[in-house]
Amino acid sequence: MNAYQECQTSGNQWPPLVSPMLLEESRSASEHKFPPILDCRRAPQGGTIFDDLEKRMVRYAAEYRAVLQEIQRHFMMPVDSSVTAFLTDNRAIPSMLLEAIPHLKTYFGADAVFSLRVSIDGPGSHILYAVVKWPGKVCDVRSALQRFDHEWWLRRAGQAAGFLTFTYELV
Amino acid sequence: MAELVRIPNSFVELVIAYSRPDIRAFNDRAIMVQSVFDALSAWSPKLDDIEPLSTGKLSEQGFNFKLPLKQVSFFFGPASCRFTRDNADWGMAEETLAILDAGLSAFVEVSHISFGLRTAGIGVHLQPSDCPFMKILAPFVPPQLASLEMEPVKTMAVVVRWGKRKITLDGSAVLANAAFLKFEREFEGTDSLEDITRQLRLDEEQLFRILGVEEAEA
Repeated sequence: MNAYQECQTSGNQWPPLVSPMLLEESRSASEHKFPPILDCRRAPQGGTIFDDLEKRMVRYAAEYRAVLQEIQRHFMMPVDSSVTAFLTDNRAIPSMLLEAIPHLKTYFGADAVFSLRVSIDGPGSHILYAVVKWPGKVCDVRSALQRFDHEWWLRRAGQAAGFLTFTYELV
Repeated sequence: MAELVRIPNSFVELVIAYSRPDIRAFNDRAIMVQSVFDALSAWSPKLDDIEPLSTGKLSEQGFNFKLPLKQVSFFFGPASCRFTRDNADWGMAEETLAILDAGLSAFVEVSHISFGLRTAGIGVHLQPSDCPFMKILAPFVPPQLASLEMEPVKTMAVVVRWGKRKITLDGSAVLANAAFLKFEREFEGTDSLEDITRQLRLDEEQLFRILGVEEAEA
């Protein structure tokens, strides 16, 4: 949270740096999920469905970058790219995290510090943990988490399909 | 004991004012762009990363040149030029200087512009992992102001300016639980890039000591 209105960045928007191997893995995964369309069908207006694709891709990439930046403003991220990669692979999660922010602040306090980390579950699937760093008593944070779960999170947890968990860490 | 912090976001910038604005030199930008492009060939520049700027005030026009893989940007205008590099650490200082020198030398050779004052600065977002960022900033909150309210101070900012030096300390607007520090200095046209780098490094060490922070090993 800043107090002084001055630009705190260089002003450049760099695309996330992804290693060629990661890019290849991501492409293979998406090709597996979505086989290539071979027939290049025509859209009703006469253009192909790929018209403006590049422009749209650039726009989506910019929007996604903005969402990631907003997440970084509220959650501490690890040094490595594990969380960014997870969020890129699970595009429904970033918006859920942003939606959760005001509720997290309501239940855990406006000054509470939150972080994100990715863990590998038993069968190899990844889970994102949104962790509140709690300097107080364990009973207080448990009670806050219980209220957060019952009053807000449990009704939405299905949308995360088990990929997102809210928890706490005593500091 | 110093508080360990991570620096997930940082930038270095150098703004060079010309001895006098030179509009004529920008009449034929293509030669300039080609020259800088060739000079930076070692860092694989791409044609589409050059952006001509022909709107706005005359001082804002010129061209932007980016090296995305190095997170480097150059702006060359008729009154000043600006160099930035994001997320560079001191281990990359030599490479940063090489890119900067290559770009600036090529520009000067073609434009014959002479450089005047240089303002160099570094901005760092300091993210402690084990304490709230306000623990770093709290010693700089004037007690007379802090005591005005019963509740703890949420954030604060300090800007200190001398004739040729400026320090900004603030909460981060970019990262969760982080403080923002920017330190800038003005250098004469005669100071070398190495002198500037050395001075900025000393400034950083001095300020980190004052803030009571130390960068955690990655």
